Amino acid sequence: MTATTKIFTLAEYLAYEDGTDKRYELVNGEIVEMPSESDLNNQIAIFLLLAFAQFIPGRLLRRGTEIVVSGSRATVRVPDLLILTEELLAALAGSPHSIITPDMPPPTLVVEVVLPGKENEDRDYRYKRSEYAARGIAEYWIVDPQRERVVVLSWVDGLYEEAVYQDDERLVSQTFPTLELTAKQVLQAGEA
Amino acid sequence: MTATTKKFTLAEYLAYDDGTDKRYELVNGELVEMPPEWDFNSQIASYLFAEFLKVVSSSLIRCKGTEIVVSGVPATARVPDLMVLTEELLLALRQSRRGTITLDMPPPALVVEVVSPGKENEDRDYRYKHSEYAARGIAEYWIVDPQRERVVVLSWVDGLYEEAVYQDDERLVSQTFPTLELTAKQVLQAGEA
Repeated sequence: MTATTKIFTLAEYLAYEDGTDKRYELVNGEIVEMPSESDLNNQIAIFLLLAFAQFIPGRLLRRGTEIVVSGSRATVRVPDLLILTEELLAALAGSPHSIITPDMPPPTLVVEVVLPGKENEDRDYRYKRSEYAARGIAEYWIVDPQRERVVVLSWVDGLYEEAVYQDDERLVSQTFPTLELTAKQVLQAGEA
Repeated sequence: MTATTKKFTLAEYLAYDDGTDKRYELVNGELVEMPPEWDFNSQIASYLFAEFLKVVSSSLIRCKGTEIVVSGVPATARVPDLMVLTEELLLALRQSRRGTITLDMPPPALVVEVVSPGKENEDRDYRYKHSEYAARGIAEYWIVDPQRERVVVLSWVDGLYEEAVYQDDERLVSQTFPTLELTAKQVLQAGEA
């Protein structure tokens, strides 16, 4: 079946409701159902959220918040984990949707846990790398259980500088200078 | 003079008209007046315009005048030195009265920036715009750098730019214009011997 896929504007996407509980992203103007998260990915995200909560007040931590980025058309991402700034929190206050629009300041850190397959890898390692850099997000973590590594991307004057961590290597984070976490601990969600 | 710089939302910027001939870019929510280009940069852009005319219709080429919204830290609108549109984008622009490529429109096929001297200008073209134009899905981004005497051709592959650097008599390889015969030196000297 070759149906013409409707191209949504950002405004149309924000008004979109198909009556189901499905989670969507807007990718280059097309509504894309999000792949279901693996249980390990969910576990890793929760583990990191709890680790961050030792340093960041709960009001600045988010799962499920959307962020508008530029794509080849309107694109909205739903990162696995987000850390807001106080300024961004204030900008979001009173908003009917938990969505960071282009006029708001950027979040300070984003985490994505990579799902298997080239399409998912390209999305996290390539597309989002450009989108999050363009958006000025200071730190972008790519947690990759398949390749058994954590990539910490640090924003410097418009581009990300990259550091790759594996096994017992301790992650170095500008956002969390005192955080004591190894790549292995993250990839195993804290399990021994 | 320390004035508080007003922060513009994208919508406010698109509605802004101060009645003067001043040209602006929107950078991270602030209005930045564009200084007149260093004349030689303009000459390089004109030379490339003439070269592109050999391979694409003039209806698709823009030399300043048309701006493109990119996501920034926050909203940012850039005015590239030279742009090649697609037919699809041309149609989308004709629906609108303002020469602005918004986030809902398809991206241009190619953008050229000629780098002005200084770290701030270099960072802007090599780093900020690298991310912004890659995120926007612009298939090809040329950085023409008279100071470093090189032309960098960035080709978009699955969300990131792959980089090729050309100097002297090296012939530029372009996905958008495969038949174009141009060397780095010709571009940097704006076609002069």
